Amino acid sequence: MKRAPKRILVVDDSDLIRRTIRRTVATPEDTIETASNGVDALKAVVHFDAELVTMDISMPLMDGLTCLEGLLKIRPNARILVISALKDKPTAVEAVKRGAHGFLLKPFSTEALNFEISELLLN
Amino acid sequence: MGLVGLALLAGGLILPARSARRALASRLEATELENARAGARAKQLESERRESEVVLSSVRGHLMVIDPSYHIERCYSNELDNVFHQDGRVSENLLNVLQRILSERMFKTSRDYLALLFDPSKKERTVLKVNPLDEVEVDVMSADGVPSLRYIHFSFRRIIEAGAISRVLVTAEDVTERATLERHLRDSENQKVRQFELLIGILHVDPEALDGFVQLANEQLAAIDQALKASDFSSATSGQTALLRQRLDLVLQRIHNIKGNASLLRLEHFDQKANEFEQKVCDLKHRGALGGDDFLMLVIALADFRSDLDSLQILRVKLAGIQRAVEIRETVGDDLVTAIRDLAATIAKKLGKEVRIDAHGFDTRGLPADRRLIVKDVLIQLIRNSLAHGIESPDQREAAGKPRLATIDIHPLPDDASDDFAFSVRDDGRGLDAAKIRQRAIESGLLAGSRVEEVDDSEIASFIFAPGFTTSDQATTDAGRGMGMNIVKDRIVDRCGGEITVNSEVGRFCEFAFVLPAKSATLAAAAR
Repeated sequence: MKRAPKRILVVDDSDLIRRTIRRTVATPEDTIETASNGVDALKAVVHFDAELVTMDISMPLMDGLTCLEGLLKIRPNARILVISALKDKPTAVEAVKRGAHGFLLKPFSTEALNFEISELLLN
Repeated sequence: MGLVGLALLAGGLILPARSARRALASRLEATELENARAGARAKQLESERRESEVVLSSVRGHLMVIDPSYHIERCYSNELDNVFHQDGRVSENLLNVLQRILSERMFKTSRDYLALLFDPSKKERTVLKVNPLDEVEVDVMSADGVPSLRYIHFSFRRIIEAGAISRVLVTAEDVTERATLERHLRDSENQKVRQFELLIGILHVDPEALDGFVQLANEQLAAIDQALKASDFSSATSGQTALLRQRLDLVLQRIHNIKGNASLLRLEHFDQKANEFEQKVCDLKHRGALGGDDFLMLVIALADFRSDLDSLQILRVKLAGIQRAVEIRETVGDDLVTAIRDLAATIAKKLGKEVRIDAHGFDTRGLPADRRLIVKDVLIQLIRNSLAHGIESPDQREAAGKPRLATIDIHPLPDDASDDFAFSVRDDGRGLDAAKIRQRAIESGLLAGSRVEEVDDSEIASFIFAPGFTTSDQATTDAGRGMGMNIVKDRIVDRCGGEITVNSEVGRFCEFAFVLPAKSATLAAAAR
């Protein structure tokens, strides 16, 4: 089941998580960019027309909710998957309210991540 | 409930029909027919109602359907009535229910969440994943007015009609049992971690001293308990404040005693714990007015302290078991010999050699700890050397007419006239290779080429103790860096003022003998 190549932005402050997501999600045909905080993520999407964004909700420099809104303002068509270890339920609800298209709880399996991504790209 | 209402309505239709019988005679037949139909319909509805009651009574918890304004349309329940029914009335709106049972922040989140449930632009899967109400703590008042803490799990499902989200099905389930179990599990995990930390904190303490501490602390805690219980503090008035202060002084003395003993034994956990307790008592003592509630805090702190002390006691008993086991093992033999045997077996296996250690009569348990350490270092070094250089492979040994299994013989050299500890270590390997040592000594500059013919074999043997001297071509962890015999000389001769002799016969054996003076190196040096 091969999907069309995508432009993907991976936003996470953990290098390990960024690598994991990249390895799990990306096909050789995809274009991938990464950012380690919200500010860099916003800078990235100015020149990079991301179709799919995975992002951690708790990151340094800019809180994930603000970053989420900013991303959608610049790239309204981007599909956003929020990946978070957050136990704080109100923030999770807020993320969906502000436009996140999917939500995945850390720690996640590669199967769960792939499933979320395919769900996200489906519609 | 709604179904019953419908049935009565159908029955009521016949009343106006009867009152107009005379004028509308022609319609009588039709009305009666209708009546009969309505009766049949009512019967059918009644049986459906019973059916759904049977189904619903098997549902644990609460089933609701809410409309887009969160109004509760239908409500089936056999549990949680006191959560959803205020004063016996069914709450008309789910928001009202939630406002009653949630904190303000969670209520706001839940209101947002209900909006997401009805928002067609949000995918149901995603929305269901961030359910903030999957475990809600609620204070429930039972029928006899006793409050209890319950955990309620809410779940939601969209009902789609004509392509739109018309309503949402809400289930509320009492999951107190599961939630409580989970919390117990977490508590006991925490308890384990704490016990482990306690254990680390008492390992350095002599078991008897520990027993003493437990006993003393128990006595003092009992006295504190007595002081706090002795009078009814809840009826304390300002006139009794002096008496209460007096009691606090008593508590202070006792806890201070525990603290002193804890710090003496370096039981840091209990030292700190007693210190915190002391601080609490001091704070109370300096407060203007005292009441019963103030003492409640102390009673709680006391229970906490006692629980830690109980843990300590349990650990102490377990520890005693371990220590006994260790003592029993020690009486079987010298654990140093056991360790050396293990080491020899490990190295031999690695080098493909076969060896047995004969240490009959060798025992270091009577030695002072520092001397024992030296013997240990020396033995480790000699065993490594023997296996790396002296002892041949089983095949080589067989070819040389020796048993395949080599022997390292460690035995004491007793001398009644002296307190010095003397022993020898002998292997039945190939012995020192004088030619090779001589050659290496020249190569490494230890021996001037001009002197080669002058030195005899006994001087040759002394070269092996020089730092960095080795006959091996390659260094491994077992031998070859040439520092091993230098360490032996350092320990025995330089530090203790002892003696080493070497005796070897090519192809047959190599033996080292040591004398470790009972006096320390510095004393030995001063006496010289």
